[in-house]
Amino acid sequence: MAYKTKNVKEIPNGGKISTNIALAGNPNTGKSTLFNALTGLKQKIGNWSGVTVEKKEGKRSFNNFELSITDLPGTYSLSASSLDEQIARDFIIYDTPEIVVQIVDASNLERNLYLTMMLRELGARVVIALNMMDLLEKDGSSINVQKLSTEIGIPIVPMIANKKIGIDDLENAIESVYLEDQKPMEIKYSKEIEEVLSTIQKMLLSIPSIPSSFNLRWLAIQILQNKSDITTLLESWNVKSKVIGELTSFGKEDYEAEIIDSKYEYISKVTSKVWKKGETKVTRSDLIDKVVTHKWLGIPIFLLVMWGSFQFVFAVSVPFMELIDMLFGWLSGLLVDNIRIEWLGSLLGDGIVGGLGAVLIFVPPIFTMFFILSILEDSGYLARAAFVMDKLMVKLGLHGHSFIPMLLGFGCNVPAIMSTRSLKNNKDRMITILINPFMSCGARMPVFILFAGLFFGASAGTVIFALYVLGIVVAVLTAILLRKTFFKGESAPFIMELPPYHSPKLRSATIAMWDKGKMYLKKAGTIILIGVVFVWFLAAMPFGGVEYGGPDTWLAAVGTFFEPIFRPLGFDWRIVVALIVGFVAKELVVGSLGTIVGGGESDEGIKSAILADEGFYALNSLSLMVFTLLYFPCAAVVGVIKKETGSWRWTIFAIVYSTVIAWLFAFAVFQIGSLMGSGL
Amino acid sequence: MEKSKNTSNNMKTSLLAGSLIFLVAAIAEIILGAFKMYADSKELEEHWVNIIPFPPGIFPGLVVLLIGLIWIVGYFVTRKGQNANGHLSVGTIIALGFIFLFILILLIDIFNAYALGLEDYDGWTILASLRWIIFLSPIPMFFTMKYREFIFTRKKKTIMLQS
Repeated sequence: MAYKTKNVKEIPNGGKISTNIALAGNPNTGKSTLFNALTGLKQKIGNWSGVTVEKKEGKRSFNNFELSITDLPGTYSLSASSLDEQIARDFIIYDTPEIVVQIVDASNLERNLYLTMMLRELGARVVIALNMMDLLEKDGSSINVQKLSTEIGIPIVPMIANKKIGIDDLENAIESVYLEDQKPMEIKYSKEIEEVLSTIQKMLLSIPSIPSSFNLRWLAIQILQNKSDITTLLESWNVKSKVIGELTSFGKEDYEAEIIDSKYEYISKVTSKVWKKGETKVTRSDLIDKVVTHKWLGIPIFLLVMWGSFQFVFAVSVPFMELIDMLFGWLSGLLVDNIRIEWLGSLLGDGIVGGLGAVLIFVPPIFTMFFILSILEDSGYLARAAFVMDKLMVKLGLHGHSFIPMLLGFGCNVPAIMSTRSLKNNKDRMITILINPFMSCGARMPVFILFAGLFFGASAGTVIFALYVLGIVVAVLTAILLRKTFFKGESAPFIMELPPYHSPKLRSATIAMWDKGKMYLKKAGTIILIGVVFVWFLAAMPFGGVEYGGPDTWLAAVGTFFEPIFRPLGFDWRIVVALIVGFVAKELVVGSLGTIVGGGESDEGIKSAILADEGFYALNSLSLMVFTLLYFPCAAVVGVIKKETGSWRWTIFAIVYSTVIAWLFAFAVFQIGSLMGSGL
Repeated sequence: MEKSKNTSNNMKTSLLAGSLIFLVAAIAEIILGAFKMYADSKELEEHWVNIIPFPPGIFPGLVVLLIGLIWIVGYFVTRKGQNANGHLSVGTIIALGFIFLFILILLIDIFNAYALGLEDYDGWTILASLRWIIFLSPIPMFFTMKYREFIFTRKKKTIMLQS
């Protein structure tokens, strides 16, 4: 429950020591990189802050130690102001890891040491991993590590985590801290504060329900700083409300400012002794930033980069798609021709292989897109994109940080919505959650690729790019609407550290691509497989005498029931069914069409079937793509919206609102296109 | 000192010349691209829009325009006596990125046309995909060779750490 002074420990003779450590630190200091280096796991790494929003667990063995390692979200202090910071803070305070390894960005020593002071004041046993020493050297600066260690009384290990330099030294430091004692740090405050602290500590000492192991000085400081959650903590120990009232009456904002000042004064004194600043020079990152964050060039460059990325995705994936298509076509033909029981041949050939083939064909573009996004993220460019968009978003009354979850939404809306935890203002967070489903996730890509490729030929990449831009535009307009209605008020200020540019690492981009892409493959083997079999079943029922996927099937009955609503968008019952099934997973839209339209045994088959079908043409395909982009999110996203908003009301709002918007936009596309005699 | 001044002057000239060529080409590309789009939608003969040595198109034109704009801003930055290495680098890196993309597309086109024998490639020639690369390459390549040290940093040495 709390930190206490520990006795010196010994390693059991020949035995193993199992212990737990936490990786803590400011955002974007390389916690996840170190976590991966220590555990051999492949947790997502991003060259921007706020990548880790939940704690992650891993293990490492060395010498006699078996470490359980917890990677915590980045936090600047233990006074949590956002949900992810709160997760980190609560873990350190209440789960009391044996040792906290604080990852410190060597090039930002002063700011990082503030968290160190808080950890040491709490009584946590700390090892500092002084990361990014290469950047410090490049800057021409230097740190006297030995002196710093002596000054603050904890071991410090210089590291370059992304090159795995310093890992052995870190292990040794963890071992020595485990075996030796480390007393809490006591920063001396003004005489007045010390007197009040002493009074509060005496009062706390007289409360028997407070665990004796709890660091009372730290608790007293929290009370004095008027921390909002201190009452909850005291209540959890059954402290009487009268006593709580007396204790909290000591809290004043003036004290908080003075306490913070004292800590920074101490840090400043320490750093002046150990840190030698290099010659101030304009870095390469600075020069590039002058261009990519330029007020006029920044946004066009971002749009150009995204357009180039989609061209790349489309170009690279075509031959792989053709090869997969050939494979599934061959397999399907083999099944249908060689299975004598007609319905079984149809189930395996048309249903399972056809439906799955229609989904798996899109593995290459989805993986390529994740690869490109990872490269951009790893290079540090996406952080600049967020910065550039912030200027625009602030003008629109939005919050700049919202753009990061929006960008993540291009991959999958589920982690993107979870990443909103790093937003400090709840109104900003709610808006960002509700607009996120408009960001086109990878699962919608198959619909775009199929129909843009079929009906828009050489302009397919441009059409897909335009759809992504439309998603952003709708998201921004929705955010403005929400800000002016349900979530009135000022945004929290946007503070974002621009990380230095890195050469993207092929390995980490490949890992990130695989991590995100495997979700798609997993879905193909589970939920999509069940979905396509279900669609096949409805398309074949009732057995005997009906044409598979024809107008007399159960599937047609469902589709025709809803068809009148969608007729103004140019959709017939088959498209309606595919869209409804898409609620389970968006990939099923194409999978279902493959099953329903026939020719579902291969991509080429679906393409031929669609081209030969009068129910599909360029204009209603465009309308379908727009509807797919904007309509209700899939079940997994609905689940995460409920979890993160904690409200069924807002979850239902997200479903209904997006579907209405999708209908209106698709209606506009189809009707205006028809009126203009677009020639599509 | 003298050498630095010469380099700065050279860069100024390079940025101005490069940007002007790209800007003029971009405007031609966009205007003819718009005509081509119109001609395509009306199913008109559009051969006359192919008067420029690269395929006309609005989006590729915007790429060239933006690179030209980055360099021209860089030119004005150097005129103020400031460092325009960033402008030169970003414009050149974007151009190189697109050259890489077009080479990749060319290779994929060759694969699709000759290895997979896709119907879409009937009548396609290597020259059709090469035109863009030929047009886009010379200036960024020249910049890359002449200002290599500004555009690409040397490989970092690994430092040894001692606790």
